Amino acid sequence: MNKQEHILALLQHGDSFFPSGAVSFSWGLEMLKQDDFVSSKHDVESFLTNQLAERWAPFDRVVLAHTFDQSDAIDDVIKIDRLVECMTLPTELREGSKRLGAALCSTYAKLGVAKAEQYQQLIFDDAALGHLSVTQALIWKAIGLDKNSVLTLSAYNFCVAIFGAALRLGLVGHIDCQNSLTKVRTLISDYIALPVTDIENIHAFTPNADIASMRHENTGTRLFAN
Amino acid sequence: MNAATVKNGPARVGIGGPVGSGKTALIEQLIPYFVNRGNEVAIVTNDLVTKEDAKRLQQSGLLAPERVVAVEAGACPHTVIREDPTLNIQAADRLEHDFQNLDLILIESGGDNLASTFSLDLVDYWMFVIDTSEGDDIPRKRGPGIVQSDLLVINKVDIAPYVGADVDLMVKEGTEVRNDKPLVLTNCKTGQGISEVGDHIIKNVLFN
Repeated sequence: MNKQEHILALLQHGDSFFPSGAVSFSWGLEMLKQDDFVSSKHDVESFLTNQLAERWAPFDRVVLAHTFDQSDAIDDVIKIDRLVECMTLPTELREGSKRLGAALCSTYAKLGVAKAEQYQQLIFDDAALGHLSVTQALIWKAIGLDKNSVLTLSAYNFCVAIFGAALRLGLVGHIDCQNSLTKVRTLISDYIALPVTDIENIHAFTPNADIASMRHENTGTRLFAN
Repeated sequence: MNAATVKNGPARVGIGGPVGSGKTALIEQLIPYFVNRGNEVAIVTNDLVTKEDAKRLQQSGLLAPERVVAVEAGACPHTVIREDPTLNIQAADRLEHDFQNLDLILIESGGDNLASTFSLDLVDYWMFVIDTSEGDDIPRKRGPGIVQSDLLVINKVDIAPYVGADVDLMVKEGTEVRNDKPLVLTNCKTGQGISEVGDHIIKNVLFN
């Protein structure tokens, strides 16, 4: 694909209009709001920047990069997938990642992406788990995106998911969201430029979100899946 | 009904409508109707704030609890049945995979407004449920749910006299705005009209 088509592809696959299922997930934000840990646009920004620094950059980004590089070695991809499972302790975060990964495979399989169909079958057969960052790298590479674009799309989609949830939780307005998205551009760019560690060194430290997610499992009143 | 009706696998039927119009009650009546004629049924619910509808169906004894799956809507019911139905499609795919003899998957939207419609990628056929207590002017308000649904269900006809609703007017205006597409009067507490709803589903998507 040429440069212009690449830009159009990024717009298409990064757009919230693209059916990904992400609208049903808050990644701990709903419970943090219920517990009054997050109550303003500044709190939402802090939550997001912390997630980017302590989860996306040292964990998801590394998973994405390694999966991208090893996408033709499906057994190695499955091993990365299992590592993500082992390293994601809160149930709702782990299950949310798998639900969205499977959903991504389902959508792209319907769009005729063979890699998505292949991995979806592995998930159905319980041979693969289908975590989101793994399926994103596999599928977005298969549709012709380069590694930098894959990392950018993943980070951007995560930011939009958080701000979208915050908007519907009544924590921010739509102008706030756009201002915040502009602000985090530099941060995301800096993280993408970091060297990629060995896959064995992935790590995350987001105790607030993790505990909120675990508390969310037992709440009777909820809008979001996590 | 859209062209996808001819695909293989169980028929997927959407049930939308305002909060409290009787969508879950309709499903509770439809399950025994289809089970008694030997059809294999599963349900996807889209509760908004709780899992009450899913639990109500799981605990009803009408179906094995694992045949009822809840999908969270992230605050907006129409989002997950129209703008981004991915998780509902995924839930239906999973049910289809886990229960390979399924004939029918009923997908219940969270309660929504009159503009609510279903993605044609999610369902083969969809119904919109309103009730007499919402006012007998609802059909002539022509929301997309009223006009575009394959079947309009007007529920709670038994209480019409007590809420000042003219059912004949609702039928007349409903038929007019829908260009003679079918509508059915029901009382989902007693089962009135349920066999007619079931017959429409059989005729249009089950074909047996």
